[in-house]
Amino acid sequence: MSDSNKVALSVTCIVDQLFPEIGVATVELLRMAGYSVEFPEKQTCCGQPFSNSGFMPEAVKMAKQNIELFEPYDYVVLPNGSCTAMMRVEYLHYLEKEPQWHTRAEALSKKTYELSEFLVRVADWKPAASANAPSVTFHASCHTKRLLGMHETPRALLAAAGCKIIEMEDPDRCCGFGGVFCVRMADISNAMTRTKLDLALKTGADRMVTVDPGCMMQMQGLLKEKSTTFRIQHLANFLLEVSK
Amino acid sequence: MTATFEKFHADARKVIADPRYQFAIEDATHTKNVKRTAAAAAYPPYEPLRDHLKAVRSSILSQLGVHLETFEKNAQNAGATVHWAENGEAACQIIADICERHGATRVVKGKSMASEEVHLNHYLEKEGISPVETDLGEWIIQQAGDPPAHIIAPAIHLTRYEIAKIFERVTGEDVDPENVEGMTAMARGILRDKFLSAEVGITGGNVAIAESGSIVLVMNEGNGRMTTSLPPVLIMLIGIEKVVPNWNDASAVLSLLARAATGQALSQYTTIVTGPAREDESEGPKEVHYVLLDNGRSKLIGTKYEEILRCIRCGTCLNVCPVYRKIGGSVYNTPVSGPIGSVFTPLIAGLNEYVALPHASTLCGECLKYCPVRIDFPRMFLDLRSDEVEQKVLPWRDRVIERFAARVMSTGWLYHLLFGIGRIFQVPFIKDRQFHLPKWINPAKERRLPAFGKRSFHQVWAKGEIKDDRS
Amino acid sequence: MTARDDTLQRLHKSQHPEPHPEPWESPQSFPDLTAQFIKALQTASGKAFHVESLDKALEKAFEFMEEFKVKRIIANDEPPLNQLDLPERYTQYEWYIVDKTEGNLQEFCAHADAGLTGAEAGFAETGSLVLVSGPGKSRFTSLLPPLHIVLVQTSKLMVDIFAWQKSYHKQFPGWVGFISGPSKTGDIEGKQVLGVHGPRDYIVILYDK
Repeated sequence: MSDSNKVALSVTCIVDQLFPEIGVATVELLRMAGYSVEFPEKQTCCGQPFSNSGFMPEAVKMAKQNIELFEPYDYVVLPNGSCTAMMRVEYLHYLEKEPQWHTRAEALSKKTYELSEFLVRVADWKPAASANAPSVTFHASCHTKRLLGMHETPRALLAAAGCKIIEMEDPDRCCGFGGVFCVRMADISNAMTRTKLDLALKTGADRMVTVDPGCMMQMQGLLKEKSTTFRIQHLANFLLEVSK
Repeated sequence: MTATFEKFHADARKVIADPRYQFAIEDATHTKNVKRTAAAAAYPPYEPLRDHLKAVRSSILSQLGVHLETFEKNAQNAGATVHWAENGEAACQIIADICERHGATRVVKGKSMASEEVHLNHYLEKEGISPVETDLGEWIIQQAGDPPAHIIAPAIHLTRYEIAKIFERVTGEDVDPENVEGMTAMARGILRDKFLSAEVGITGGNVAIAESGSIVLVMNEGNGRMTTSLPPVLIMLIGIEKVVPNWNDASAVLSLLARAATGQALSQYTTIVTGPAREDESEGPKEVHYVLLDNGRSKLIGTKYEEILRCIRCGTCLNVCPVYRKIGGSVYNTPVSGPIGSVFTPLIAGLNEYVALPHASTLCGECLKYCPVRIDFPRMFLDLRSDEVEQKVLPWRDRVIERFAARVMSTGWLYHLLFGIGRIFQVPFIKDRQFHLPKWINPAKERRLPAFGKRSFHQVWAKGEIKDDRS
Repeated sequence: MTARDDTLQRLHKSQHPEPHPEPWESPQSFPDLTAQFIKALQTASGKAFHVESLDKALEKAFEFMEEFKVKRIIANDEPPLNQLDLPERYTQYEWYIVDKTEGNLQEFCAHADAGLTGAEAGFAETGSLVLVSGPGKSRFTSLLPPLHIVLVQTSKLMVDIFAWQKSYHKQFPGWVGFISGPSKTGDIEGKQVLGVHGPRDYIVILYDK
């Protein structure tokens, strides 16, 4: 743990190319929490789509690229639970057989955080309570829960913002994204997503909030079948919206 | 039997489009999950016993040969004949030979996943022996000609109406589908006759205990007791990985097995067979044969897949798997389905034949979380997927596309260039930040894929729009 | 090379012995074994009763025989039943005593209305009884008739399967069974039905002395 107030943003490819507003909101939140943000521009992707499909050499190559790129910084923050899990947990596994790289991966792992983790545990920052905070249901992605063992920090931020949090039934039910699965097994994926959306809508909450852009885009892709008023948002954008 | 991508997708589409099937699978798995959770909550040692059993199974596998030899010796001392089957065909041959030696054609069978794995019924039928399934669910699907939908409850995909029709066909009588008790009583009568006249009984086994040379069979209906006591010849087929050295270990297995599988503290009947009827016993099988099935299991020892053999066949991974809960057992095209089947079957029957199975997972990890012996299925799915790439089993088109994508994603200028091109060419196809594509061309089918952002975050940052006021 | 040699050779070559964990010591305990047994058996759809004496137990058993309109009973020739002269005491029933009565046991069972046995031991935690095969003890007494009644002394109850496992040092006979309830299935739409292949009604009467 460092006393520095500088963080490096690993924006993640899905946010970079599909939802840049999540990146913008992340930067703003980190600044509100008193940190300045650096953006190593050489970054592209953590490699997860490739390890996910069994392309290990390609994934290892990208792991090494990311370790090299981010290791000079004191903190690395990602607005993406799944990619955080990749960098913090899976990289160690991929580099088991290369001791030097493994050591470097371990060092990086110790300073890599998902956004809400960083805000709550390192920055010790919480949003101010808003009188008009909508009711929300929180979707904890499978990777976030399983590999990071983390699910309280986003809820802590939502509660601090004044939101009523209504939990879904069967909260551990996978949304159906699964990375490449969502196109490789699209029919099953969509069926799983519809089940998840039903569970979310059943809560009666106004919004669903998540820290996983992959899950977010998966569910947004079928949401209009079920509702035109329910919104699914990333935690960063949600918190900014509520704080205004 | 195979699970290529095409077949898997086609079968999955069919069951997803069947609302009755969807309801049956969802309801059955939900009920099992509720029961397992309640049983675990009511049994304080459940969690620590999981860790203990994992360590026990791990240790057993690490020196499996030693335990098998002890089992064989003690089984033989108890009067059982021990056979070793190197593969499915050999197992079928051994069993058929025993039947033929006794001139037996009337054979009753208890539920056995191992027997499904080796396609025993099919083999015996070719030899003119018709084995009758005696577990009610197995008997029903045998009559229906259906594959099992679940390893513990094989007929959960059938409604009472479909089952009533099956009974009508078999008995020639009118059957009231609302009278589930009546149907069960009918089956009891039909099968009681079969038990009493059977010449050979065949069952599986849940655990084999080396120190006493016994095999344990758990069940709720009692057909296993019938099959192991009435016919003069008994054959028990069991995978070699199911041996434990002693009764403390067996008790650990039994204490978790029913709680995980059905939410019961113990099954209604636990039958322990230790060789044939003794001289002072007037009934029970005169001959008992244990058939130890290898079929690729021994090849897994010492590999990164060894831990799959810890499995106690409780079915928990099926019940918690969100993919299984959508497609049920038949789509996997292997009797042991769900996460366990998706790792085990490719390993023993060929990755090439079952290429789709390791991909039938979002890696959500529920299986690992609830497996009584903490098998790391997600890790093994990833390893199998990697094996598919290395062994060129994954279709070449997939490999070409992904390798190209990896190139793009790891090469800065290519990454920015291609996404930049995408941002331009997407314009006619997007609305409200989503692609509107016809279903036949959309890789996500009915789901709308997100459009590329108007600019990448890189571009926003480079433009200096999110300036830090403090710097 | 035989299949046996093939498999064992492969296993010996790839073995990497890990130490076996210490035996599991079950932490379970119940202040009242009998009450726990009854509760567990009832959960499993069995019936259980606790009476003070063997006489009372007999009384209760034959109340059930009347209730179920039993006419033919098969009974094991084991304690406590073998001390009771059952056929002489209850002449209104047709009796088959295992290994004592002449005639084909299975044929009798095909039309028997009830089976009567004792038990070797019981596990309170799961409401289970241990039955074994052997002289005077048929596997079918507790299996073929639609009603099975057991008379067992409360002193035979142990905490759980681990307690039994610790105490059991004998050779196993051909058959040992743990009976934890009546026969049941949920194979048709998950609906529970009793009495599929084994007894539909299973009644345990526990007596103190």
